[in-house]
Amino acid sequence: MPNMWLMQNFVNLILITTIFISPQVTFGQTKFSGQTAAGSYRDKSLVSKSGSFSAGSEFSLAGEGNEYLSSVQVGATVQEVTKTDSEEAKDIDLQGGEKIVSKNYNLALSQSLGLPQSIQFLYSIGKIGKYTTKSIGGGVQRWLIMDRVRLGITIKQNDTEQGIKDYADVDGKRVITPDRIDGRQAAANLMVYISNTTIGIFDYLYSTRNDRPATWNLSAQVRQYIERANGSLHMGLTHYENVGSIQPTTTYGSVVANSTYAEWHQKLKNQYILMGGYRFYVEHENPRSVDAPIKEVGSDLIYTSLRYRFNKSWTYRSNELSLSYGHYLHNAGLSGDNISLGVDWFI
Amino acid sequence: MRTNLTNMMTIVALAITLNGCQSSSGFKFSKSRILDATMDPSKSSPASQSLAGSPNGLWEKAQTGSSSGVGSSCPTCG
Repeated sequence: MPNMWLMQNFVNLILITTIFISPQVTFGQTKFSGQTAAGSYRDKSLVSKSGSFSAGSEFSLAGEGNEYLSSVQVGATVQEVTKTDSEEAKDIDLQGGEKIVSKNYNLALSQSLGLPQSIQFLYSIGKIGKYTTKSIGGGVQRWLIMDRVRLGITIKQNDTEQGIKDYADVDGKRVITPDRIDGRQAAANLMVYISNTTIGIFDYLYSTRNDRPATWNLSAQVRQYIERANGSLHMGLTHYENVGSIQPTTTYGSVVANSTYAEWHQKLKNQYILMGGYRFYVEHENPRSVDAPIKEVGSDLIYTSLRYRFNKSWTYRSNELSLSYGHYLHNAGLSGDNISLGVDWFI
Repeated sequence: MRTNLTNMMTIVALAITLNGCQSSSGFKFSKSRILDATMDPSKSSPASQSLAGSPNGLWEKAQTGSSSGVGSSCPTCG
């Protein structure tokens, strides 16, 4: 029955998508774009394979102009995670099994209101193992200063099923996790185009759910193009907090985390971009349960990618191929490697 | 109940479409700034995407968009 329901919802997504794409036949210009990626992550404890596909259409409902730009985007991701037989895998609980498959489908609709603002409708549905996740929401985007400062606000209602766990935690208290979690999220994004060579990106997320205290996080990024070097420097910081009174209905205690990253994106010849980056992550946990023994988490991620652009102009979006590699190091001694291949296309 | 929800979504989607069709304002969207491909704001940092597997930090999992079910996709988010 749950699969039938998933199928019905997916068919509904396709129908709604069709409704939104169909006006392009009658009304003006249409642009299509999409992304496809496949990747794999492997360490001593597990192997993960994932694939994603997203496609979107951007079209004007009012002739040749772009006053009433509309867009629709659909996406799907699939991930399979399998535990290994190693000692490192003994604490991993894949919802009670050795392997778990997760699927997620999402839909995003955006409509300009004829002013420098647009509204959005967001929906996603998925399965993590045998449990269903759903999310429905909406948002508003508005240029506060035209072409320079843009604010986006979104809210979401989430509904997640999970397996019930019943055990004694480190304090001897009996922990019983609920089978369903309801949550809400509010997010704000501020994009600041300081100049054609400098961008600031700021994000704030506030999240509540019925079995834990509220969570918030803040991130700040800067992207600086350096003409003399034919490349860009990207830097970012994030801060995350999930603290407060935590009842014995959840596996984890309080969490505070920080991360920082830096990347260099170098143009090569006429069509290649080589990127090298490093991210440092640190997290302080106050674990409730014997299932979460780590109190201090630190990790390093060193990563690189090579993009090949079919278009020789650097100032327009282009069909492109990308190959990425990352090496992950954890303070508990775990290390893993990720490799992925992606395609971006525009019509 | 579920059928009602999906029907409601369809109606909302249609309403948004019709709203777009009927709007008539003289305002225009400005063209996006022309930026170099190395700083395209629509592309997220690979640091938040490249790990599809199982980094051990709770928030780290959420940042990397993992839905591995190790804990859950974002154990502390709503």
